Amino acid sequence: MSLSSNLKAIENKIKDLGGFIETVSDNTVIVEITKDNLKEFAKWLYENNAFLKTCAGVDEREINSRFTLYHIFGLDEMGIDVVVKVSGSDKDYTPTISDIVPAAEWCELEARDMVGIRISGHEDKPKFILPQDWPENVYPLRKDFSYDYRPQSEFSKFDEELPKEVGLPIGPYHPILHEPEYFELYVEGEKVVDVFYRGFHVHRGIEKLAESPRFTYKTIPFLAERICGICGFVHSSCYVLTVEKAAKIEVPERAQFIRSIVLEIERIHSHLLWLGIAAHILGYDAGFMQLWRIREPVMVLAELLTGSRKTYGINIVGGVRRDIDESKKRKALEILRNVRDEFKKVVDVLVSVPEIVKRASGTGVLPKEDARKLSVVGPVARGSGLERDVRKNYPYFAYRYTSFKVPVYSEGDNLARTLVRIDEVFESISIVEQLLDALPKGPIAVESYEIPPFRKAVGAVEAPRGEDVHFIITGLGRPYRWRVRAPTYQNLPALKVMLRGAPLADAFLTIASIDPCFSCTDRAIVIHDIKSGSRKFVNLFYGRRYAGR
Amino acid sequence: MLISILLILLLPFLLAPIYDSIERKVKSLIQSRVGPRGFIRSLLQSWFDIVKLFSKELVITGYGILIITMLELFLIASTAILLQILILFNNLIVVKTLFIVFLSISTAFFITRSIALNNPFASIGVFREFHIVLSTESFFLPSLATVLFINASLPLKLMLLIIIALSCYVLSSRIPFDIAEAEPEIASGVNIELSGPLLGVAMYSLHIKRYVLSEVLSYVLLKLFNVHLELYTFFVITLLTFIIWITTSIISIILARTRVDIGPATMLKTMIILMILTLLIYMLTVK
Repeated sequence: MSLSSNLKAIENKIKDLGGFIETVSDNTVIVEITKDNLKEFAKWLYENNAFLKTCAGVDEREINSRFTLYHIFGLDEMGIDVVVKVSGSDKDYTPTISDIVPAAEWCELEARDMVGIRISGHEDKPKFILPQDWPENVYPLRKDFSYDYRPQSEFSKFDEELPKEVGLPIGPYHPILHEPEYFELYVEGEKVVDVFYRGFHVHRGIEKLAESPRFTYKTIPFLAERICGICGFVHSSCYVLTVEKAAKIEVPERAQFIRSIVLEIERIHSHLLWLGIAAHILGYDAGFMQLWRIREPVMVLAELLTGSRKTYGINIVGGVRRDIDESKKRKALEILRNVRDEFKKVVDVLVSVPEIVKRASGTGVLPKEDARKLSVVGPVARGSGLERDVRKNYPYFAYRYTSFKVPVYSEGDNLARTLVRIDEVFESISIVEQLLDALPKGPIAVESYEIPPFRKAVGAVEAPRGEDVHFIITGLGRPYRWRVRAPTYQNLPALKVMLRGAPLADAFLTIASIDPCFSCTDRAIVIHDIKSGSRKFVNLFYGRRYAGR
Repeated sequence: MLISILLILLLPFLLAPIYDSIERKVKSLIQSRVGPRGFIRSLLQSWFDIVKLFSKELVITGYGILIITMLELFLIASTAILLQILILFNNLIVVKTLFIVFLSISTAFFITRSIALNNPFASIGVFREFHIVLSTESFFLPSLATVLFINASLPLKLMLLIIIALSCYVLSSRIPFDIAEAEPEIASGVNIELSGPLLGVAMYSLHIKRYVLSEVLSYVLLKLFNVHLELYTFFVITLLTFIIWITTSIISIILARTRVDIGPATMLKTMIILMILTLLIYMLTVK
């Protein structure tokens, strides 16, 4: 089906509902619709196999004196993004679509907290991204809120931060967690009966920073790379992809290839890391040590190609900063060959250890319908039978020149997600080899570019954890609005489904199996200076001890 | 003579951490990493760790945790001494009885920790340990008593050896059965509120427990061959203890951890089958 015929269907539906199409570009359609028809249109999209990617609230008072909420849907089979825009004043209520598309709940709450868009259906819910003692009617992402303003905390409300009944606290600091996250598991004996999740402890205000005078289009890739430690390159790639889409910049082929190569290398090392962690959680330390030993050459390879083991810093708008020459190519191929051989041996042992198979299979099950409703991404989706992969559905960079399989398992348990990641490592190694062989000649960056203001674009990149979505409204010199939706943000709500009714002993493997990356997830703004920030953490932790064991 | 007997009685207390250090070195070699570095550390690393723990501040978090930890050490130490006496002087029935009593108490004493500590993780750890111990001890102790007190036929002794070997492995808090204290989500479970000297005492008790269990197994192994247990066989037993310790550690390195519901259920099924087979063999071989 071609774009125009799909477009026809959307156009007709829009006409029926009285909205209008604002822009069409490449594979993005931006439609504007009134509040009353939002639910119906969302329902129609959902029934036509659209997945909700995210939604972004924007303070557009400087453009057209309105507050706007953008819902971003993706039609996977056609590779089209549909951005649904509803706007109004800050007194109007936008209807929620979370009863039709449960995946919308988190991002709508975020828009409500950060921009102050009122959403009917969410009035009673407590603050989601911001802490409970954040002052009322102070909305960080509004344009009149300066990026370095520090509001006073309302200490009277602080007790509301703590849940009334206490279960088994897992976090914010717990030996097994690598980042602070707060799960309360209510257990009866060894069975988990309910889950309470409170995240967003590591909120750093990246979206607001990007709009501040401190950053420009040129420097934001480096900011984006620091969104996450393991998958930073994904974020910077997605940012430059989105900006290039918005400004219609033609990036040289060679740069696209290099970006894809580095993305796949990041995927390989991230999956190896995760497999080691999973083995460690299951007590199989021998597997953990061996997998991380195998991961080391991949880090060395990254350093060879980009100059750093982790935060590469090679992405710029319009290209990359470092090139790959012949000797590097040869060395890279040799390293990858060794990694593949050793990895095969370790994996054969890993899946033959009886305890690992017994503990991972049948646990943490996410049924396909729930996966669809919550619009999960990445290995979590592929382990539950959903064939979603951004590299195939919305091809970007150089992926259309490669051929690879997308592993899909239908059981939806921890073992399925593990096997998906194992298969993906082999596929990634093969992709890098194909790309290195087919590397075209040419420049690695455009000479110059112009970024016109107030263009909108959506970009998505397949991170090791799933689909990473960036939405940009370009401004003057820097984005007007930059929305980042990391994959873990989309996958975390699925944990409620996976953990309920499961034995406690599986809880950690299940939490780890979505490969949570809380640095990516917790990006809403909590503006503290260092002193009150640390005081807050201490209070939260100490408060737990007194909150009635 | 007295000095040599004293030395023999003290042997477990000196050797247990040394064997643990060697186990750690073996583990690191299997996992392709360095581990305790150098010859001295390969032998004495666990001793260094215990000494270092004793140099830290004593923090007592629960009422009674100090007494309970010291009592655990006392009980397992008494068990170890009784085992040494049992091996040296074979036919003292009082010693054998006392040994079985002390062994059963010291492996079950951990339950008191959950009373002393008001900590949900400790309770869960105790709960899990309870499952494991319950599924093995009820078979372990009668089999051990049979071996100690009765002169059984060879097939019967072989079956009992299998039960005892399995139990000794399970009760030694090793992967796959260390779910009470090593499972990451319960943040070291039963050991959660121990630190500094208390943790040092608890670790030392664990080493002695492993020594006792390995030595019990080597004793039963020798009994299989009807060897008269005298002083010179003592050295054989000490050597066998070392071999059994290292073998069980290698098994634990290549396996992963089981789960609180899978582990005890598997153990229970296995033990029941073995017990039935033992009874059958007994009925077939008795005249």
